[in-house]
Amino acid sequence: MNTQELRPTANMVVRGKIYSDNLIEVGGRGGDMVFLTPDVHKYRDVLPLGSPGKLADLYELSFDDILDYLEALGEALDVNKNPKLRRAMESSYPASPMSPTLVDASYEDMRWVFQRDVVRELADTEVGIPYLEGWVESERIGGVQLGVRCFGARTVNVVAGNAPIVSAITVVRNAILRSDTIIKAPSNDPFTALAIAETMCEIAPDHPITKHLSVAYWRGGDEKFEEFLYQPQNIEKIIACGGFAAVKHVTQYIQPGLELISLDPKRSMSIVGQEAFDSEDTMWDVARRIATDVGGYNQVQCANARVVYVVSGTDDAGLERINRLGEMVQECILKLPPQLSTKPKKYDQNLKASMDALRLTDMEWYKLIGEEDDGAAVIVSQLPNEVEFATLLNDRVANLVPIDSVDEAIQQTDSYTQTVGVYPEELKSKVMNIQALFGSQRYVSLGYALSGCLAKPQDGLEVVRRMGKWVTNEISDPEKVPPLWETSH
Amino acid sequence: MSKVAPNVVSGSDTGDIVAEAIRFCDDPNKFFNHRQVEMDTISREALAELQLEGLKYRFNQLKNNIPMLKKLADGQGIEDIKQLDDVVPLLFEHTVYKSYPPILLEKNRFKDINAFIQKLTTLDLSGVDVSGCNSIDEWLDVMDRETELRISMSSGTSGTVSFQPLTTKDLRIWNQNTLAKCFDGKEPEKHLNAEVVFPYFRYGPSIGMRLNDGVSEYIVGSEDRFHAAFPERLSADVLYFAGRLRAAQTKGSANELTINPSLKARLKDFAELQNNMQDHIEEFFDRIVSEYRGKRIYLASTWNLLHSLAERGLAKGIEGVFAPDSVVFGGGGAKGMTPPPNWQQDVARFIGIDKITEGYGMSEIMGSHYKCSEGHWHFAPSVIPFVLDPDTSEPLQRKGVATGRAAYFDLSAETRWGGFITGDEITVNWDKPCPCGRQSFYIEGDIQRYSEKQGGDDKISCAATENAHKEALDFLTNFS
Repeated sequence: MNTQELRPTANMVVRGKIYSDNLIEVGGRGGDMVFLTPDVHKYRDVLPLGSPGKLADLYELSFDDILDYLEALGEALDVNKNPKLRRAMESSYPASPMSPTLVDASYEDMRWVFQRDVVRELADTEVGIPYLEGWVESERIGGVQLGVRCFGARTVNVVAGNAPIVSAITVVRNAILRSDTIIKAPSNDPFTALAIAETMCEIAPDHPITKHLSVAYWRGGDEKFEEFLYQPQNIEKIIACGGFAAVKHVTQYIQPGLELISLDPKRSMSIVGQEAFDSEDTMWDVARRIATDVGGYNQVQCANARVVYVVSGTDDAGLERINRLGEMVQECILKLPPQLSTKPKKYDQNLKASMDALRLTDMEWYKLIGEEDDGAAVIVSQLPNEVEFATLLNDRVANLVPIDSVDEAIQQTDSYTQTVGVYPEELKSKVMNIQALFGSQRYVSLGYALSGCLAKPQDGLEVVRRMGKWVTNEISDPEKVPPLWETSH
Repeated sequence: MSKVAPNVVSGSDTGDIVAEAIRFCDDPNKFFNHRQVEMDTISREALAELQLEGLKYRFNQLKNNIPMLKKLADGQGIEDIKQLDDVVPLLFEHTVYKSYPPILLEKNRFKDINAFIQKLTTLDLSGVDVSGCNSIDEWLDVMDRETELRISMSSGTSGTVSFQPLTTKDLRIWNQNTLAKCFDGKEPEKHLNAEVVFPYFRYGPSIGMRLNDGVSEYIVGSEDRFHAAFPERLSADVLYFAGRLRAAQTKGSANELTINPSLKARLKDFAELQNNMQDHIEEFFDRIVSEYRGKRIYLASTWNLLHSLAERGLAKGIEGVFAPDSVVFGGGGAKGMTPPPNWQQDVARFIGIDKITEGYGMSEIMGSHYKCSEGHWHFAPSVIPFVLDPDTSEPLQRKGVATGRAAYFDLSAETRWGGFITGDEITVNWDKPCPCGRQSFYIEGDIQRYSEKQGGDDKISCAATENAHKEALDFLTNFS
């Protein structure tokens, strides 16, 4: 094995052009991997689009042209035929928090978001195709004929590294909005967005969509570079996914003319009603659903459940019920299909330290089911209280918390609460109209936290609409709209 | 130079070395005749022998008497210690000191909290009745009154609190160690002839204030010489609330916080304290400057408190206030707050001394690692340092230059387990002796927290306590 293989290169793509010079070494997260990438400081002159007028070429495309392009791109993103993507997939094994089989599965899944009907639904429900294609006119009270159109913008997308599909979705959103974007690749997945961009260069090097997508890596928080790039003359919108520190860091550049769309760090929970205990079969069904929400994609996604509130009751009988459910959940996690969940490739050290401490405490406050070596563990609280380290739960570790009433779960909600899986379905009506006020953003049927549709608001935001610029055109006929110049006192 | 080293080195008789090691562990300061120079010049070989024997002694003494240690040792199948690295799997993570359900503290369930602390100490807490305690302050009062424990509490930004089961003896060891440093290079005296200036609360649950009792008793020898900016107590309940408030503020749920009824009942006092805080500090400043001008003072605090004191003076054109043989210790790390580049010089200029002594320590370890003229942090002899792989916690070789997670074993700990894994990244040069002449191993360069390197920190460090406390008081006093 030569050094190049040990240190793979992540090229830089700037609007159809691939750069592989001026390489510097960059460290992957957690010391997992080191890769080479062009020193972004050397490309300061080429990275920003410059004049926003350069977006005009995208307006020569029809929506069907965009669908054609994305469909062709999706077809080209077949890991079995696309060596760039395959290499990207394999290179991301060491840095990804997911095990290789899950990385493989998520690369397979990625093509789905480029499908014609999926893209059309996304554009239509999340923006409205007519608004993307031209001015949508209607008459307003007072006689104004109003035209509204959604224009593209010059953007930076700071994408998260925990799922390759995030890069694919970013490419699709950018294309339908006719925006220009620079994707800032994450250090734990520097290859996915790059492979998509390189494929775009290959299949349609001169296409306007190719010409408005760039992928580069720089260290998040590289102030010298970010101070330069994050200026209103270069960028109008930053769409940032990431941890608290990363998002907080970007806020310092926000000023009039430069907007932040922040996809904050999130975590998710489940709420299980007492109906779960109706029968042995129901318990197994609920356990399987909890296991799926907890263990799917090895719990690296924000939609994964971490704390599961169960209306089991908190008396001895209630604890017995929830402990039994906990055992079933642990068993079900171990039985999840390998394309969905595997034994974690590396157990998180911070979580391990907290779990070890619980074991050493050896008090009746918690019941621990499974060991990390088993690849799945469930902590059943014996008090109506989540573990102190609830935010660290990952690598297929769930915390089941017994409660007497759903109100106790609602009290644990804040702006970090993204997905709430609820069982049974009828319980949702008791929960969501109140809980949403406290910050929760998405409700799913228990077991479906990781599935669902693409075309929907995200994290409480109309993200795709906000990524565009909404321009109005007011047409006023003096016959219909009394002119101000004729206003009489 | 050292009276000890030759004895130890020639100690081919195992009985001798064991006895020496026990004497060393039980009172490291006394062992070195309270002389800093002896601590600094014991040979590496002699110290290694003492430390290994000491480690064996502590493990055998504590393994069956500290339930968490026993559980850990049994789980690991470790029955004895043959070499230093054998103890690495038995070092406690910081999580150990807070692995109780947070609700216990929220609901004043101190009997359960004591059951938890019992897992960490050899002292028998079974006879202590804490059932009537309605606040952390009340509970700590009972514990202070009825036991040898002096629980040190630290509050994290996640809202949970760690408890370190220190004892009166631990605090004595620390203070006597500091006293030895006060007489570095001079003939040690029983006490330091100086006035203690302390720019914060006299009493309080965190280590910085827990140590104050020993400062009066062991360093200056009299409470009359102790002059604190706030003679009262920093409430543990406010400190606890401060941690929860920070966590809730980050999540936008500060309005949902429940306030312990006993804390609510004291809101008026807090409001008064808060309103007078600024005046109080101003008064304190004027008082120490006028009453102790030209006198020798002893001042040990976190960098931020020291620096704000100095800034107050320098802004008024006041400098060189105290006697040039005044002793100033600064520390507290830079965790989460960036100290201004010349804070040490500012403080020294204001006080009127050549330089301050910088120490690196933590509430888990009763010894400070002092910075030498070369900028290296030298390990205290009673503390065995380890450098661990930050991902696997496996010990790195004790040779060459190693960078990794710092871990320590405090040999002076006799009722708690002295082994602790920190969140600090350090670089130790195991080979090259320090040009300053000290024999001890040392840390090169900066000490950084791993959590901070990864962006964000889960610990309100000593230096950040002041701000957190202020914010909590603000919030509480605006609460109605």
